[in-house]
Formats: sequence, structure tokens, C-alpha cells
Amino acid sequence: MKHSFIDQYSDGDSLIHRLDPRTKLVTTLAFIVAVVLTPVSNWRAFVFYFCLVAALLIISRLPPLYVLKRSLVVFPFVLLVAIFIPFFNQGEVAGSYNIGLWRVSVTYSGLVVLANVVVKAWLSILSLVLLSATTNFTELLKGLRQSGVPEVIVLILSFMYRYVFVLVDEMLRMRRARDSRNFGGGRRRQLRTIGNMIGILFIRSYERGERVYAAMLSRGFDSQIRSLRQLSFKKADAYFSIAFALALISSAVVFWWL
Amino acid sequence: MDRIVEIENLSFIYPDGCQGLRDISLAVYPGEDLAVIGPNGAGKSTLLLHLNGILRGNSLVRVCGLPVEEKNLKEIRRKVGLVFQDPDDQLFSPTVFDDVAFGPLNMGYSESEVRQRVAQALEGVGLAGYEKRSSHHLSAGERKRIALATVLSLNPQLLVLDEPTSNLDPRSKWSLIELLGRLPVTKVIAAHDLELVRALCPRTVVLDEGRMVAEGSTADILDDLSLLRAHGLAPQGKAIPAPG
Repeated sequence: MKHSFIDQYSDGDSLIHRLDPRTKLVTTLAFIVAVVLTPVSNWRAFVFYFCLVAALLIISRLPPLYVLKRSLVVFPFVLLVAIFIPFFNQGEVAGSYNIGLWRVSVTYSGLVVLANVVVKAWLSILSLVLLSATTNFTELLKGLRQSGVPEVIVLILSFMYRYVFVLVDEMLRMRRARDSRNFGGGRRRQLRTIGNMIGILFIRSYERGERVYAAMLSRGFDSQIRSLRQLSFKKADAYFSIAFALALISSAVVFWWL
Repeated sequence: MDRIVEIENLSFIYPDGCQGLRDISLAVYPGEDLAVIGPNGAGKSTLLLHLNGILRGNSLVRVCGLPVEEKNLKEIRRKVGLVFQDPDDQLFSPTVFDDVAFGPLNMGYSESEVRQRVAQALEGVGLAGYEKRSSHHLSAGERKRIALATVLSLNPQLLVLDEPTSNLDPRSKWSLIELLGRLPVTKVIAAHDLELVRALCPRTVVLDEGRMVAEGSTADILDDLSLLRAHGLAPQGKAIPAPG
């Protein structure tokens, strides 16, 4: 079965695609740290961050609609966490409402905090979409490994990437089998069936894990993970890193002065 | 050394109390292709897993003259290439290169040797240039071949295959059988596919309920309809002609 892959568009070609994955990892991390640490009152800085990431997105030639869709995926989570902030914050009241027995008031400072969370989350996600859509997942793993991320974590991510589609396939097949036998009946029965399916999926994954481990042992695996190192830091990487760092630092200085 | 595998009176009980193998004695000779056939649950896969020490039963198995025990495992796993039935179990790395290089890297070969072995193994299964592909993008036939390449990269003396043709369409199946026939290495093949057995293996053993119930030339065994019927390997009625 066909799936949309995490690293769709990563086989494209642009200045950004060709950068060393480590460069992209470090600059993405630096960008997110800068965004998160910028005080909310500095709205100009956020405009600048947006322009920066938008410029890079344009250079990378990713389809804008794809980027937008991808970046909106996290919004339900962000909103779920942040939606109540305006109601609980102390300060000047922006409006208050009577809902049945409750009296609810929204404060200005609460709204600012909400905007802060939403903007920062969105900018961070944009930069992550840029990273994942311009970097092949395998390359990204190599980059993580060579940036000193523990081998075990890299291995877990690698297995996750390899088997997520196998599991999704298994899940889809189970759902088809269920639907072809006229899945219906009461809500309680439906929930029970879904519960059973999740349980079976879990057991199957566990058994697959055992078989994969046997396959690893068969080829001489002795709990030590080995790999060939083959990334090289190019001139373009140096230029890009320096330019990016300068942009972030100068924005910090400039907006601090203003 | 006149035997690649020597098994004497081997029994194996799974941790849950299930009897996997009962009193198996078997020898595999260098250069031969041996088929292991039997119904589902007969113990075929269990037997194969004893050949490189993933499972160990009550008696000692000798492979390439070495007893299968802790201190010999690395050497034995280099000499015995075990290909699992489901390529999704065998191919666990993000790219084909990483999977084929996994064995050689574990053996501690140098980078240039690893690269050379990967290229050779892929060439050997007719998929040269597949290094950068990811295995979940490949067809079932290609995956089976890559799974084979992951053990060929270790230049094994014994190739152990579990249902090599399962899930393949006839075209991929026959091209895989031809490929296996060209490989100059001793093979032990567990299979339900009697066409494969007839095409590749001169000698066959039949397992049922963990016991070895017959052993002999493939032609004799596959022509013995009452034996095949007794162990669920041929149709019971007369309406359908027996395979082969």
C-alpha cells in the first residue's frame, strides 16, 4: 500500500537540500531556541523570524500549500493546551461572559500569552517542516549520529521509520477485514472490536520485534552498533551556518535596542 | 570435514511447553541442496533456527565442524546465512546499503571491504545499484532478493532459507529459483512449495509434528502419494492431481 512519507519532497534539489544534515539540524535547533527565548513584546522580531524561514522555504522550492498543511497539523495540540490560558490569567479584563452559572472573563495579558504560544509553536513547526522536507530521513539519522546523539536513540528512530509503514499496512488490512464482515452493531461492541484490534496489533508488533532481533543475531549482531561514517562538511555549509548565525544574532541585538 | 551440518538426536521444547522438535538426526553434505518439507507447525523453522544457534536444544549441533555453542557463535553466524521468510523481518535498516552492510560491519571488516562485499552481493542477486533505495519502496520479489543479498555479503558456506518463494507471483518465483540454482553454495531450504523443491533439491526430508518422518531422494518422496497425503502435503481426494 502507498503512504505519504515523512520525508516527502526530500529527494528534491536546491541549495537547502544539498546542505549537510548536521548544518540543518544545528541551525533548526538554534532557530527554535531563538524563537522560544524572544520576549513576546518584541513583535518585530517575530516578523523577522517569519521572513527568515519564509525565505528559506522559497529557496528550497517546496510547494507552499504542502508546507502550510504540514505546519497546521500540530495546531489542535497547541490549541488544546493553550486555549484556556486567556481565562485563567490575571490582569485587565478584555471581556466577560455569563455562561449559565459561570462567569468567565478573558484578560488582555492572557490573550497575549495565547498569541505568544501559537506564534512560537507555528514558527518552530515551520522550521521543522523545512528540515524534514529537505532532508532525507536516512541522512537525518546520519546527521544525528555524527552530532553525538546516542546510537541507541538513532537506532530507535531508524526502526520507527522503517516499521511505521509496515504497522500501518497491518492496521489497514485488519480494518478492511473488519469492514468486509459488516462491522456494525452497538457502540459498545464497536469499541470492543477496536480494542481487540489494538491489542492484536500490539502482540504482532511484539512478535515481529522478536523475529527482527533473530534476524539481527543471525548476521552477527553483538549489541554493538556499527556504521560507516560518510558525511562531509562542505564550503556551502560553512557559509550557510555563518550567515544564519549572524542573522539570528543581529536580530537579537537590533530588536533588543529598539 | 565431510559434513557441513551434523545433528544427532536433537529435541527442543519451547519455553511455553510446546514440543518443537523430537529426536531429529540429520546430516547435510557439502555442495548439496536439501529440502525440508512438512505441514504448518511441523517444526521446519524451528529446525532452521538451530543451524546458527538462535535456538539451542538438548543435544549438540555441529556446523562446519564447529559445535554450536556460545564461543563459536560469531564464527558460525558468519558461515551460515539464514534468510527469514518475511523480508520485512530481515530488512530493518533505512536503506538497502545499510541492510546488506549490516553483517560485514558486525564482522568488523574494513570500510573498503564492506563496500566491495555490498556491491558484490547486490550484483549477485541482480540488483546492482540498489544501495540507496529504502526497502519499503521495493516490490516483494526485490525484497526477497535483497534479503538474500544481506547474507550473501558474508560469503556463507551454508545458505539456510525459510520459504524463499512465499508471497511471490510465478514470474518472481521462477526467477528466484533460477537465481538460487546458480549460487554455488550448500543450501537447506524449508518449503511448502513442492515445485521449488523438485526444481532445486535432489534430497528431501519430511517433518511432521517435530519428527523426521521420511528422508530420501526428492523424486522418490514426491512420487510417494500416500506419504504426502499422510502428512498433509498432497490433496486427499482423487479429483485434483497431486503436484509436481
